[in-house]
Amino acid sequence: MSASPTQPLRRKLLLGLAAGAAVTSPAALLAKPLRSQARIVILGAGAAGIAMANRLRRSIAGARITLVGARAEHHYQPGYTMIASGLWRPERVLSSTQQWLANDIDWLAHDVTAINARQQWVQLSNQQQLGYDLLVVATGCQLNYHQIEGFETSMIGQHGIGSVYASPAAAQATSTQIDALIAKGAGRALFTLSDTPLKCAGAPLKMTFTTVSRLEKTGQRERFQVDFFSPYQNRVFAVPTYNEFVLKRWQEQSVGFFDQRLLTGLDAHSRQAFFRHKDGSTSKEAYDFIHVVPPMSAPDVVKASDLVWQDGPFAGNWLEVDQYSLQHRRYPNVFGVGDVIGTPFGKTAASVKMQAPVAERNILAFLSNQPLNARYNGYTSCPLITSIGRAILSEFGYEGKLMPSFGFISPTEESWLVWMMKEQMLQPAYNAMLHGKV
Amino acid sequence: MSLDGILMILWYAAKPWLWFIALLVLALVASLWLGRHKQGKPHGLLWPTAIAAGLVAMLVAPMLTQSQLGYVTTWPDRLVLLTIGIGTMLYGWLLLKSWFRQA
Repeated sequence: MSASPTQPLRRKLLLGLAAGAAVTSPAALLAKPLRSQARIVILGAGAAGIAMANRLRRSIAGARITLVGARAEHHYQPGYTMIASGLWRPERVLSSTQQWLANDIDWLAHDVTAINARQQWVQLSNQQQLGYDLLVVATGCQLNYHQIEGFETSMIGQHGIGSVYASPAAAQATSTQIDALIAKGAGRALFTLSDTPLKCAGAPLKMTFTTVSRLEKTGQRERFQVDFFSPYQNRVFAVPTYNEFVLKRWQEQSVGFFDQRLLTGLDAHSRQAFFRHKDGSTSKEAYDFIHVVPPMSAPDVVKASDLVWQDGPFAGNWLEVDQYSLQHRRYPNVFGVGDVIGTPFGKTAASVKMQAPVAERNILAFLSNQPLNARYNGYTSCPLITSIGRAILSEFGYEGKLMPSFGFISPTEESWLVWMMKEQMLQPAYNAMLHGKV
Repeated sequence: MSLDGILMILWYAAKPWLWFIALLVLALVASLWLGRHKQGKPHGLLWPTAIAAGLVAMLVAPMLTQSQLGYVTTWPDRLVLLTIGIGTMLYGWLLLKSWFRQA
């Protein structure tokens, strides 16, 4: 079946199926389940996909909801920095995907290999073709380590190489490499940043702070050189308030800062890193430990589809959605949630917590032929660990506007309470989010 | 964040510790029940012991969260630490009050 992407795709059919659509407001839409027989497919069985599946299951009765994603093991990714800082065991972030899903959600444990938005089907790795009336893209993002010459993920944990993003095991291996640096008694640690949008963009900074904290604990901090390489001019974080704080703190901590330098390659055996400068010149830096941050994008299957941004800063790399409604700009029956979307901010679990209810309300409104009134304001949050034992609760949204949730917690003050929130409370909040409860 | 949301998160945070909370309640109930026939005035050491327990809790709490006392710097930090101390002190007092008696 084909339909013009600019027309309200199968909306009449969906309207007919939405028998209980006598509701008038988003609040009313959420008050009782909407009746619909729409075939809803959710791509991605990570945090965003699971949260959306559980929410839609509760708010829509009669629909066939299918979750697509091969990963049987669920990872609490905000815990990776805790593992890589030597504070948590990897087991603490592991659970099974199945345990988070309501019983009546169909979960197909396969990856999506193709998306045809015009004809409204997706193809899975088992060659199954799945038609949909409404698609939620929540695939997460892709770590493009291969774009760093000479680098393979198997190197993480060897030759002084660490990277917090790859997996819980990689985070653990990163911590082991930092331990090895400390055991050496002296050396140089390099921390890098990619020039693409990043999920948990604070993670590279946290890794720098916690490593400095560990080095300080040895009582011989002066024997270690710590340097941070950023591709941006005088910037490591998008929000000026936090950028200034971090750079100032690093100055106090004797962390070297080198801007406008992008990591392009590694020679693992000789422990040399290659950087390209803004003016096109290159340089190489010796290291004893390096923290690698990969370039990121939407997964290839999204990039190869018609769903990807066609122009602008996210062109060819991220899912095209309206940054407020989270609805696809050209295919109205497609919504996006989580790391995959091309919006100015919004690649953390905290973002998903805010995006999921917005997408849910707008999906219900779409199925009921109502205006899409729910708005995502770009909220994202990152308890920025500034030392092992204290953190700043940075919360902000579009245009870098600070959005503190708790009036009594200063968004610019280091605090033990915020550390406790990161250490003890965020995982429960995340779990509640997966269940669609917050 | 809404009150509902905060309560829901607190519930999720408490869930893994329900066994411990139950144990604390059980210990308290058992102490009060078993000591209900004890006679006499409260022992002079009751309050000092409860206060000492509260102080120990305040000293230990940051370490239990992989932090340190020196990082308790903002007023919400201090308020939380004080709440932990007072809570421990009151619990200790209730737990011991039936037993710390003098004839």
